[in-house]
Amino acid sequence: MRDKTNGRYMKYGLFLIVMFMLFVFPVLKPPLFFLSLLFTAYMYVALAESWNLMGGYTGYISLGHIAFFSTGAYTTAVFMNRFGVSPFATALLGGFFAAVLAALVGYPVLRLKGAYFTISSLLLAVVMQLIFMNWDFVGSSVGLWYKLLPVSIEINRMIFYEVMLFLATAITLIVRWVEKSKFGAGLIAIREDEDVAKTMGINSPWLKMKAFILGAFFAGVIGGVYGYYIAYVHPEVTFNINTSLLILLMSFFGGCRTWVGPLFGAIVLSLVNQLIVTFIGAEISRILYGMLLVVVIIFMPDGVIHYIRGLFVHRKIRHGDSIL
Amino acid sequence: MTLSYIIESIISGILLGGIYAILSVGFGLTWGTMKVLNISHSVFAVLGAFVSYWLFVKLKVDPILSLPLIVIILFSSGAIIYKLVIRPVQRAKDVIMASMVATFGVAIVVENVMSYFWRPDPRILKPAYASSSIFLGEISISQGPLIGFIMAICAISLLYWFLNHTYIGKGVQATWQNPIGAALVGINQERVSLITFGLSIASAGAAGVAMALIYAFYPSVQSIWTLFVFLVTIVGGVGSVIGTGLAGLLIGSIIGICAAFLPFVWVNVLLFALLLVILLFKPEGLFGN
Amino acid sequence: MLKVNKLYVEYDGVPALRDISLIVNEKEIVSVVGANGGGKTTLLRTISGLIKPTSGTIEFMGEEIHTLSPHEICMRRLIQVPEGRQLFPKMKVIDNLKMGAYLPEARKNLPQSLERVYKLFPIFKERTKQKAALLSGGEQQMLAISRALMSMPKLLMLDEPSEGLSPLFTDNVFETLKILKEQGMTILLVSQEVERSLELSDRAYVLENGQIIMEGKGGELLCNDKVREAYLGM
Ligand SMILES: Nc1ncnc2c1ncn2[C@@H]1O[C@H](COP(=O)(O)OP(=O)(O)OP(=O)(O)O)[C@@H](O)[C@H]1O
Ligand SMILES: [Mg+2]
Repeated sequence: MRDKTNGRYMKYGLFLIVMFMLFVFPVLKPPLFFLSLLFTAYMYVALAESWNLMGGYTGYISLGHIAFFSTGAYTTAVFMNRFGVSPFATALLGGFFAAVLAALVGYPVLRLKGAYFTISSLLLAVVMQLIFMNWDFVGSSVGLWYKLLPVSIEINRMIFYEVMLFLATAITLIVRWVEKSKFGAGLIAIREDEDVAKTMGINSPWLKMKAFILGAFFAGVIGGVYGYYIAYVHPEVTFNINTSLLILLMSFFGGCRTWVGPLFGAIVLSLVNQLIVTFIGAEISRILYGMLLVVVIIFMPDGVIHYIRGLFVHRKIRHGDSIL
Repeated sequence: MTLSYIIESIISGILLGGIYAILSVGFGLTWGTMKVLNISHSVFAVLGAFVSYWLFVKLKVDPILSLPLIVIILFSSGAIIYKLVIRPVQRAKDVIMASMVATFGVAIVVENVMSYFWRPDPRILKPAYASSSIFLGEISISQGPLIGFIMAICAISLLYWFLNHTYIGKGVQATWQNPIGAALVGINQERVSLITFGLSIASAGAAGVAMALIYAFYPSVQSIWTLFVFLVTIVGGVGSVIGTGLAGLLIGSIIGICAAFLPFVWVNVLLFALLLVILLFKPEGLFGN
Repeated sequence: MLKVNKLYVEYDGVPALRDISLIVNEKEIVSVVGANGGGKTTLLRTISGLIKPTSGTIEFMGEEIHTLSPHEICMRRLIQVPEGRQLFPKMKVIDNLKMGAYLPEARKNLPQSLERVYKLFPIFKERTKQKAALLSGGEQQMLAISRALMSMPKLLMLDEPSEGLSPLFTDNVFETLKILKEQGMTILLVSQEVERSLELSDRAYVLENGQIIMEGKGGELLCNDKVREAYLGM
């Protein structure tokens, strides 16, 4: 008992120390490259966690996450461009619009299962991309630009670093909390067997809807900040289907049944990806990526985290055997 | 806007639709029979287009003549991918999802290998005859799409014949209708799967050549082709060869009619919105049973 | 001819069959009877190679077959009429029969096999073009048996061939089995029609909770008090 509480304090302590170190990291004036490297990693952590609410816990694999992300980005861009409101003020609104969009499309689309759901979510992103490409109000194929913050590039990067660190932490904690709540248990029951879950009295359409909307909201907020970070929105950049796929890959890689998986997957893969892209080249990096994906799914269909845990558990059992 | 312009537009839409059909038919086949949702399907179509292109540019082999070779090369690639990737993934609990992720990886690898070695620039397959046209009165039909269409029809007919008039083809259907029953009459499921997958990839390769006669192609065009594959497969009903053929023609006609009146981008918006609606209300497809 | 030796089978770690040993000699009819969930279907599926045993061996004509895959077992002409018939619903009657003769050896013999099936079940001669899904339950069962016969079995296994059938069709099934026996077919029959199976069989096994609890001559078991009490309600 005592050991357990001690262990928990140690965990919290460790968590706080790590967070504090990450928080003060920009003060050390690291090269900008590191700040953007970490900014991107945090963003993928936040995206992968928010995607995982739906894709991981319920097993409804969405390729439309990017649509919500872009909704957020376009919201802040339009508000800044047309009305001069700061994106930091409208990012939440971006999340809200994304959530509304999720509610509207979720109602019909969440009735579909398996590959049909996946394909329609992909189509949502594609149709939206095509529409935005031709919609003058949002800049059509030219895109929209943000006015930059009137500060030096160093300060600018620092601000975005801290904002994204906050978002990633908050979203991860919320997802972790959901996972351990009754809501999360319901979602996991849906993944195990939706029909059985229904007979157990789980209101699966409503739970799915909640998870979908919550995930979309997070994606919208992240998108709103991201647009400001790169300082413009463009259908081919924000709606890039590869981002959706990358998120999925990160969750699968880490293991999408717990909150740890996407966290781990997003950090490892986004750092690896950015480093190879920078030092080796985009094509080679994608080739390695693709191979990684294939290998992971073949040898570790439940993700790396589960694989590692599996090894650990086996070791324990063997250990136990020798005692008996 | 003259009547002959509209008719031309519809005809070229239908020719295109036939090619979409052959591009999609193999995809539906592996999805229906093997529960493998092969996201890398179109990447092999692009590979087929590239092989045909190089044979034409470097060795002056006409695309029609090199077609059998391409079918053989792609069948073998399909067989290898089956052994390396699909076979292990088929042991997963949720084969459709696992196969989606794994073949997505394959798609990334093949696409980027192509763009690494051959540059991502657009290319077009243009033998002399492809740029001339046939005239029927006032209506002109370009020969490129026409030849692509004929290739597609031949390929679909061959596939149909294979499935319905050979023992292995019937074995494929049997496996699909009842895997346990199929195992108990002695159908070697692994071999049937390998052949199905190989044929699917081979048909994609043939389709890629046909597409290259009409459109510019480049490695990343595969993701756009994949969208059309989804469109045709779902409208036609997963795994039905005839349904896929009809869906291709239907979608082609819609593209043709719309293209006569609308800018091209809105045609696509319309098509994918249509697909969404079909998914929502009739996921088994318009021509599925 | 068929020799199952100390067979153990599990589903996800839950044992379904424990220490099953059983023999079928040439030209014998052997039944396996027992209550629902006893593991009868599991046994036949394991013999056919659809499920791999955790331990134990299965020998057919002196060869170990438990490591082989289903089609390799079919090739040795050990054929099963499965529970639930497992026909190809969208195929015509004739195509279902032809699929029975999928393997090369059986394919060579196709005309003779068809002749034999049509003699047993003349209705199929008239209905060759009908879709299997549109046959009645009893007809489907006949088709499943016919399809198995098309594979030219040396040993025919049947899993509850009279399940869900009207008395008339049940009679028909047992009549057919009798004819096959007279033709010299070796049969392993799983059935809940305990009395009729035991009457027909040379020998029988009683399977309960994954274990064989009794075995003996068909007639002997039929007279056994326990069997009479448990399965015949007497
Ligand atoms: N696919 C499966 N997965 C897990 N357990 C199974 C599976 N199939 C059967 N079982 C279990 O194995 C046991 C034996 O089942 P089996 O179907 O072999 O019995 P049976 O004697 O054929 O029953 P019945 O008379 O109802 O056909 C049962 O407890 C059943 O629940
Ligand atoms: Mg049974």
